[in-house]
Amino acid sequence: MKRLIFLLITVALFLTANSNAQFVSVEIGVNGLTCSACTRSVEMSIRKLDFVADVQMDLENTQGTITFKPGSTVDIEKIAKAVVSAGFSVRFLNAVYKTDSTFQVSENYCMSYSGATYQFVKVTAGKMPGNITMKFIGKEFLPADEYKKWKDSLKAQCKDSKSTYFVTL
Amino acid sequence: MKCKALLFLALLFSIASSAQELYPLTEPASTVPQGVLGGRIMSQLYQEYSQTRQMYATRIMYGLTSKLTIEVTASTSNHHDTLLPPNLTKHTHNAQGGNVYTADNLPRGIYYPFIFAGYNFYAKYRVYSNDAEKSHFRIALFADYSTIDVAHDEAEPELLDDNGGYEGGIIVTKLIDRWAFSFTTDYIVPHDFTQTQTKYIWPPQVTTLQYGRALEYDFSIGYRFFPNVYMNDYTQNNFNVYVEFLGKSYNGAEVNVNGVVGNIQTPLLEKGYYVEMYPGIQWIINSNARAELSVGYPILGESYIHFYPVYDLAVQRYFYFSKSKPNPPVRKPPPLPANYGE
Repeated sequence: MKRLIFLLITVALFLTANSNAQFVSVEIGVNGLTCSACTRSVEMSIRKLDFVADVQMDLENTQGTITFKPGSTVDIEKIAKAVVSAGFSVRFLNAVYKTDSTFQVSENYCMSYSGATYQFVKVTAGKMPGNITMKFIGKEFLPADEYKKWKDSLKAQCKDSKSTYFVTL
Repeated sequence: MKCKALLFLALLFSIASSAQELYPLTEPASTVPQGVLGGRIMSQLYQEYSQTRQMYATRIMYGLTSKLTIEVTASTSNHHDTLLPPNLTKHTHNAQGGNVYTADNLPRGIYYPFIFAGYNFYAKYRVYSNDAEKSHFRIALFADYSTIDVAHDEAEPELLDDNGGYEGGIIVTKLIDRWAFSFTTDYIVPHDFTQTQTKYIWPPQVTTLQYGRALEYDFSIGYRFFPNVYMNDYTQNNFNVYVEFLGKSYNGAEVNVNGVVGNIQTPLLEKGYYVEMYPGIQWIINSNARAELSVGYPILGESYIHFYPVYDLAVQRYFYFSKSKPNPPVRKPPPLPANYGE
């Protein structure tokens, strides 16, 4: 059964994304942290996610770097949820996306990766190198006051608007 | 033997140890992370003439959701006799015939056995959160229920070790950088205590003691005095200092013996209020466990349920049940001297 699921996921990956394209790491800022034990709680909560390979928190600056297991399906929303379930909130979330090929980005460009769609907002059109850092825009990825500034410019325009993440560069 | 067992537990906690670094004596509005189990062992000690009064409590905490924390606390103490004092309506704790007697011209406390007091079930729900970089402001509501049924002989209710009953309140906590502030207020509705005495008495004497309802108001201030700047290392020791002000005002008790209301003639059973100050220190070990000590003195009025100073000790730890371990310390070793190996 496990093998079958693995096979299905692999097939899904090939269908929806460029080969070898994936999120490799995330820089995350966490709000509400004032103690080392709180930071540790956040780290432990993120570590419970099966696609996470490693977490390195910066205690003084209350942010951290999360690296992912190669070939795993990364669910960015789960990271934000892990921070919330530890009792804190996300200040920023920037994900590094790596592909073998360059691609053209324009305003409201829709990118598919592993069942989710990523809609680029407030970007200047141009060719992107293989590695890009996407800043996630959303209620769960930004403090309330910062999200307010973005709210009106977020209109889902991709085909699959059910699981659309808004990102900017 | 008891001492050894306690020492062992303290050691166990300090080695294995996690925790939100917050107040030794009051609950913060923050909650236990979801799916995380916490353990806490508490002790309260004070000297009553020749007797050292001791209370030990064990608490299990669990983060049911990120906003809802539940706790169960079991406690035992040598604070109470098995029966109420015979001169209940007149008894005091500082005169002959109360909790003290004189031998060799020295006042002595009366021996009480250790009694298992009961359980306290507690739930806390975080209703408001406003996080910013290195600060947060939170509000939580809480309620607890205590099954305790012991011969507590003062009007003041206390649900950790003295009274059964229920309690509900609100907690407001503000953390900013190295500072922590919290205000808690709650209302206590204690259960009555009833004892039926048949020994040497006929007809049996049924005494019901109805304790006073109480309003609590606590204010806590904390400050991280070490380290100034966090090293990127969870094993770095942290020290926090606290001052907590615990206040309570309570109604008078009512004594009823075989249906006759007693005439209260002791301040212990009359209504009262007080504010105590508890300076405290907390040691954070492995960013996971904490050990703390607070010492309490009265600053306005005084409580009759303990003597002063009151010593409060506790160790606490979180269990994450994660297969993946946190990063090992990244603290670099000091550079080798230039002439090393020559």
